[in-house]
Amino acid sequence: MKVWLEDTLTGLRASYLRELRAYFATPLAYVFIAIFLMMLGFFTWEASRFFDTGAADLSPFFYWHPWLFMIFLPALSMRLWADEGADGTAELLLSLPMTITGLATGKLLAAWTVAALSLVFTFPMWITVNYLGSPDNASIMLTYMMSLVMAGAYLSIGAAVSALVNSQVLAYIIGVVIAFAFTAAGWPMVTGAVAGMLGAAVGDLVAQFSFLTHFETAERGVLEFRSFLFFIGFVALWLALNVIWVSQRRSAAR
Amino acid sequence: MTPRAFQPAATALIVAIFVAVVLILQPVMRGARADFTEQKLYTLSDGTKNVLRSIDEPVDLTFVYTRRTGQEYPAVRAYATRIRELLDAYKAVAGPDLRIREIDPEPFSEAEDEALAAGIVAVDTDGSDPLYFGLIGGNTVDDERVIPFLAPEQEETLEYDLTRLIARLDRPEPPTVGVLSTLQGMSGDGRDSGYTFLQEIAKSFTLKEINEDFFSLPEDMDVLVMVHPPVLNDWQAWLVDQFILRQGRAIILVDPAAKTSQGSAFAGMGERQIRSDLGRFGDVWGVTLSDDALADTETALPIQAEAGEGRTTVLRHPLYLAAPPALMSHDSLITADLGRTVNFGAPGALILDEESPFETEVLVRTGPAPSWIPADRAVTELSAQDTLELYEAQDTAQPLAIRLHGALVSAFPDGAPTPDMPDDAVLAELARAEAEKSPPHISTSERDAEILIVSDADMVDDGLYVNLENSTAFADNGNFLMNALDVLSGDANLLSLRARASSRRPMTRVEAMRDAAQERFFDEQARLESSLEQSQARLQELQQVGSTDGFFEGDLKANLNDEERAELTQLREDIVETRSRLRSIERDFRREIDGLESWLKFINIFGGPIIIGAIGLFVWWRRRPGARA
Repeated sequence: MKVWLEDTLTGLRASYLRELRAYFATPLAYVFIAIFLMMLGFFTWEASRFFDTGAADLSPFFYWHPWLFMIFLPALSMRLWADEGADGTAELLLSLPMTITGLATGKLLAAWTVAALSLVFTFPMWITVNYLGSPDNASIMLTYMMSLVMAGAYLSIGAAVSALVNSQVLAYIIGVVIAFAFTAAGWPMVTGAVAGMLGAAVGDLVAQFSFLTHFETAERGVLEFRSFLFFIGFVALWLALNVIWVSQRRSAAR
Repeated sequence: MTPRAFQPAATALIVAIFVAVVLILQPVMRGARADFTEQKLYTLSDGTKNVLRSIDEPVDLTFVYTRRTGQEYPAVRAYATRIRELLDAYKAVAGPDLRIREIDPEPFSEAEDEALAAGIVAVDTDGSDPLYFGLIGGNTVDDERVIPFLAPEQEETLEYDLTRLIARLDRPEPPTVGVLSTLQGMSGDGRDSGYTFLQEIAKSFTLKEINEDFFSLPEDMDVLVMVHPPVLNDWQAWLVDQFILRQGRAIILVDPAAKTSQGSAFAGMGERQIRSDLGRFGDVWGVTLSDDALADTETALPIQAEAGEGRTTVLRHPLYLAAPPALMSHDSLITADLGRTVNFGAPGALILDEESPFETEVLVRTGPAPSWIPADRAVTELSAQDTLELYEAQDTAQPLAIRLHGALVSAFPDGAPTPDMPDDAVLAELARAEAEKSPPHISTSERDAEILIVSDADMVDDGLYVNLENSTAFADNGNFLMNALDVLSGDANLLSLRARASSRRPMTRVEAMRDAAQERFFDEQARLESSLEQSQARLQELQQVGSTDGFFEGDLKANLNDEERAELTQLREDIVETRSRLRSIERDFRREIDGLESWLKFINIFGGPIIIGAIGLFVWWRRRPGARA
């Protein structure tokens, strides 16, 4: 057990640093963050007409987080494992004295760090509302935190999927589709349709698995513990799937 | 197990565990939450908890919600979830005495009949079935109170509304309101005569009329309403004083110039009481009524006035004030939801003693530059013109309505006075019997007082806020007073709910800019418009001179001398220029705000990417081949 823990931590540290360096060695992370910020700003100011709402309130800004995460974050995690398979480095990596759990966690944390950086660089928005009026900063901080946790959930989907397929593009597409399913499950259009076909109770049940549903209370400034646990559990689920799918590959390689 | 079979099996197992845990945990953990909002918008207040803990008889709440239809509207769906969870929270505090159920009134179902019978509104939705979204409350004696439609916009007062509903159901007999007034319209039982306000009181409360020469107050009175009260003798003042120390709930409308006061029974014959004030209470509470009345040009109410020769015209009369919601407190439940003006007729000002130990809150105030008008003039049929002649603008807004709150002390430090007995022996005997019923003297509040003081008694007059043709209100005078009564007659628990501030957080900077621009541009606009008018008048004058004599010669300027011709040309140029400046002012009005918007938009859309780009370039520059020298 102790050895396993040590191997896990070594793997975590090694893969975290390696992946993080990989993100910033190429322009990928920079371009990714820049485009993400631009889109978020655009949707907040043009689509939601933030300024015309006349309220020093970031809800038109946070509203777009799940939807943009759905598009952008699979792009961040698509290369985590797909690359290893393509380059043939997986075999080398997996032969090292590190556990897969440690490796997978490290990779996910690296991507999560990039997502966190993107959120940090939305600080002009926070300064703007404070300049325009007096917003409720405690609740804004909570929403940011939940948004970050939710970003982890989106990333974990992409990471696990990338372990399943060898192509980055395929990993991205499947990642977006799954992310869309978990986002749209709470979308009124979808829940309405589900409720219409299978009854209102099923509609509510489906909505319980949606990121939108769980993010919604945080947007209002309320930390719902079950929502927090949902996201954490969701990350754990996909991390476990990730480990299973990678170890499958390792045993197949042997 | 072969490796090939292991993967799908393990995947399915883990997913199944996750789904099961979510389905079990989600309902279990419902309500476990931490409220990060500054005003704790999503936490039950102590007032609600107190009401819920003290329910005596079981109260039934039925939440009526058409799920299928509601699901199509995000706002309604989210609000339904909120209500369901709020009700759960209520249930958790109240225990078995609060029974909650939900019905889903699908078309032609029994549930729909139940909802309709209770008076739940069927909201028309295009295409699909009607939406029922309301709440029915009932108690063991078959009283029913209903919220016909739970409007998502009213989330702010949701807790207050729900708690009030429960409190009313728990205590079915309505509170008793005693009314003391010298105004004719405020006396009587309110069944089918008197002011609309009096009739409204009679509808919602048990109304007790208090005679001007009272020797005792109604025993079980919950709220005392005094509208332009008579001058109280010592004994009467002591009774009022003791009531306020014991019950602490009063609405007092006083007036330095009561325009609607009719005089006593023999119409106009008796001495007409123009002024009423707070008497000896004023000194104790630190609130006194001004001697003079107030006029205010900013909030002047448009009224019908004689225009001579039997015609009438509508003009703004500064002695009639129409205080808009902007001049009311947004924090107090009494005024927070009022959307229309509250109208006053020659009100006074409430002068607050800074050193008063009691908490006061101004609910309604005048515009920034009211003027004093002597009460003896204000009470006559003073025309708008005459009022403006007397007008001397002051530089501070004056309070028109305040809320006084706190533990008070008696205005009778030496104890109860002896009642003045009538000369008639029989009456004196009756009076003595009445007086003996009064409870012993106390010198400080038994319960925190909650008093609304308004500096105008005329505001209860129907003429100021009710359209007599269809008896609908055009101003919020009635709502203001009924809100106050609702708030005061509920128990103290409801009052504490009122402290909840609005969750609206406006962009104050933009609003300030808009106000400043408005002020600047309105001044300029008014100046330009008046100079335009003058120029046009002068132009017409000159043209008239020209046309009378020069008309037949075809030269309109024939009869003007050179100077006048030059002036004519000049005037025309002026007019053209003024007009174009007026147009540009209208354009300028939003220019600064638009400028701010485009700047902020630019910073927020491109600021982050630019910083990221700069960091990227810097890293690239440091790492480029040969950078390490």
